[in-house]
Amino acid sequence: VTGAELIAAIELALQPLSAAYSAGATEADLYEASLFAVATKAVDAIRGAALITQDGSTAAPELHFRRAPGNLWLGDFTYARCTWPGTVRELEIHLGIYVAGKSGVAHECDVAILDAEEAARSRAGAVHPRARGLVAAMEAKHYVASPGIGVGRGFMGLAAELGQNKSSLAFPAMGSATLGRLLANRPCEAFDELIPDGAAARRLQAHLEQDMRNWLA
Amino acid sequence: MEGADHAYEALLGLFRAEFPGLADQIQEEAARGRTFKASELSRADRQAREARMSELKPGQRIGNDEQAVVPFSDEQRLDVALASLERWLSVAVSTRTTLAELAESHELEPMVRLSPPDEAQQGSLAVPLIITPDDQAAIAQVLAVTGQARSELR
Repeated sequence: VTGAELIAAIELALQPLSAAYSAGATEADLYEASLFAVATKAVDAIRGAALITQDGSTAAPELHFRRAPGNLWLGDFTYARCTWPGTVRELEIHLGIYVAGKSGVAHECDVAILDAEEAARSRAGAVHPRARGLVAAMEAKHYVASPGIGVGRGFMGLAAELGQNKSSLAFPAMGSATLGRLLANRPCEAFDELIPDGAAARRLQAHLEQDMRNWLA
Repeated sequence: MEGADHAYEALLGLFRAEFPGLADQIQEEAARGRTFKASELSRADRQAREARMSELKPGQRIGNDEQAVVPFSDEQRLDVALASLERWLSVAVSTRTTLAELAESHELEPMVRLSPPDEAQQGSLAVPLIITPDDQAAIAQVLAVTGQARSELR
């Protein structure tokens, strides 16, 4: 096969793919949303119940997520309200909300697993939830080619603000040696090659299960 | 592969038109080259690098833990682009499957609605989570083409 023949074959093969697959921003949004699904699986796995809701009390009529980060208390967006038998403690899982870091500055949090009391406080006061109310935070990067060092630096800054041991970075590509070296021996976690139904997603789920167990204990 | 350099450029052009963002990611990785520990360099490569360094200051050596970079060949750049396309498609299928399972387990329609965070803004987008047989066939065809090309590149 020559290069020209290869391009012609790929172009021909890609043509029938519907327009839904050619919007890059949408794929990144769906990748974030699939990590939300991984977090709800973690709740199920430790015998919790995740109500997929938009108002906190009734089941949501659809999966409705933000296309860009927003305020927790605004809009009819889908989140998970998580309960466990034998305890009044509850968690909420939100997608694409601002969380106030240790400096007081609000940061975009792709997936936020929050103490429900902190979420309720946020809604009541129209103030951003504080990092202290986070049980876990995930930064999703829809990188199918190996991300550069800037992604690692950005994540380290975010983790310093939201809590090193609560923060995880996930992306589908294989991580470079440089990125691995930068993030090695730190309390925050990086999950490379994370495809939502793959092995890395199961490792992330197990990590979140442990975070939730520790919080429940 | 004959014409690998042109194929790489043509593929990036195709991605720019069809999959915004993907071309930039590939270019970024291709420009970085392969980075690894100097201890993993071939002896000949390491000696050549040290010889060039010694021209500046005699006796210079590269430490085993130093990071060395080797640029991608045309074939390797093309392989990066093809592998990225494969992964992009795998992720597209996997995200939809995972979200469809979430929707099904909560008796919701297999669809995600994406909206701007500000209620005042317009621009809601409904994304179906069911992968049509036509799309499945197209994805399988792309993967067959890229798989064959990558096996020839190795």
